[in-house]
Amino acid sequence: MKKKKIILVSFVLALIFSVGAIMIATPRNSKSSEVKDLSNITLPSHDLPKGYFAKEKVIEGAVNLSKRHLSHEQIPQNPQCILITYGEYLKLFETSFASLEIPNDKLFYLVTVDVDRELEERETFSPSAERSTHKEQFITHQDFYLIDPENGDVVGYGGNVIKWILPKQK
Amino acid sequence: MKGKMNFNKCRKSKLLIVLLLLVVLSLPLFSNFPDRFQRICSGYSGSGVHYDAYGYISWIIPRNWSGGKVTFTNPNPDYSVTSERANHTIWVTTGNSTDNWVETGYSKGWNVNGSFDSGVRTLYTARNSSAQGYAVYRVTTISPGSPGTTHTYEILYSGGLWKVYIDGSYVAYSNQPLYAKEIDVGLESRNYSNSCPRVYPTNIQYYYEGQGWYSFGQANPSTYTNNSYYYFQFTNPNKDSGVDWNYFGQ
Repeated sequence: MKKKKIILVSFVLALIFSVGAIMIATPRNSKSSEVKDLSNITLPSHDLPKGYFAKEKVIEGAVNLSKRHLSHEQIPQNPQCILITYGEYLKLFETSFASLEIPNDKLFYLVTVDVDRELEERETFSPSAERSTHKEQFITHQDFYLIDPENGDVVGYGGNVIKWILPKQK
Repeated sequence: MKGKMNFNKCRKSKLLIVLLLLVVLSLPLFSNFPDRFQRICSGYSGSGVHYDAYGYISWIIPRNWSGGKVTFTNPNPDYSVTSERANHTIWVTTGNSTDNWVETGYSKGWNVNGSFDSGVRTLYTARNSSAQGYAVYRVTTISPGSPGTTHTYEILYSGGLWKVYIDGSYVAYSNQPLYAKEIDVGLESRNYSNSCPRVYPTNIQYYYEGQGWYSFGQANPSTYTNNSYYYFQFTNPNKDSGVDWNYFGQ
């Protein structure tokens, strides 16, 4: 009888520890993300006047910005950067919104950084999203930045649900 | 007597097992606890939290709302931003859902050269789409003006697009679908250290397709207290139109 009890208690304890270990080991942002690969596209190259921001500099800045508000020791990964006109950006990436004040031939650095964000880790959201009961809808998997190469201003930024693999550039 | 003792011991061990099982079964609840706690009461790594003060209108029985507008006076004194940004904004949801929206407003603080410049003052537009994610764009052609300057922000569906107007100038559009399920007006900040003592939304309206503009709220300026709580006192004179205004969120 006593042996039985010891076995039973040990079993329950083992169960507690194993369930706990699994919970701790499971990363919170393990949800899979859809990837859209545009690497088969080759965009024309663009020359920038002297004094404009270099690619390396804007990538460094974007990665730094992507480090903000991350919980659970996540590290931003896989920074990508291309020089793209606003027109190309609208055609390939931003298909649901457009600014009328930016000329289509204006050049920008488009930088993406892979990072998973839940709603509360985003830079901004809406009151309706805050009250939402299904916050998993707002998870994004990639930060992006649209940066003016002339002065380094971030003209646009946000989070993509789909992870983009950016086109190649000549 | 001995039998009774054995019976008690047996009961005790059964109780212990039941207790342990309860602990195991309740573990999933506790595993979510830190997230909930952070969202409501605390920040990530002590960096502060997102909070807002807003009023909103929404429907339960579908209505053909296709626009919203508000007049905001630039804060005077201006928001004192020590961390990232604070903005006052109108959010118009799209696609008969609260998961997608178009927004426009004023922001104190903006990304510049790889970091936030809390001194930058700018107008902006943004969208959120559950399929694509979110995107925020700076409006560069319209000056925010000095503290106390008034701007009218309008988002109206026409010709198959949600069109964003600031002071009557058409600045951006979104092709998200109709209709608006909810329209929010308010203040948003990423950190408690930002001081936003005044928010002045007036002339708050929604557009009912085929009918015209309806007023849906009167907002008193928020009051600011030392514990960084913001209070909006809104009234909804148009009871037919939906939900009354709420106060702050944090």
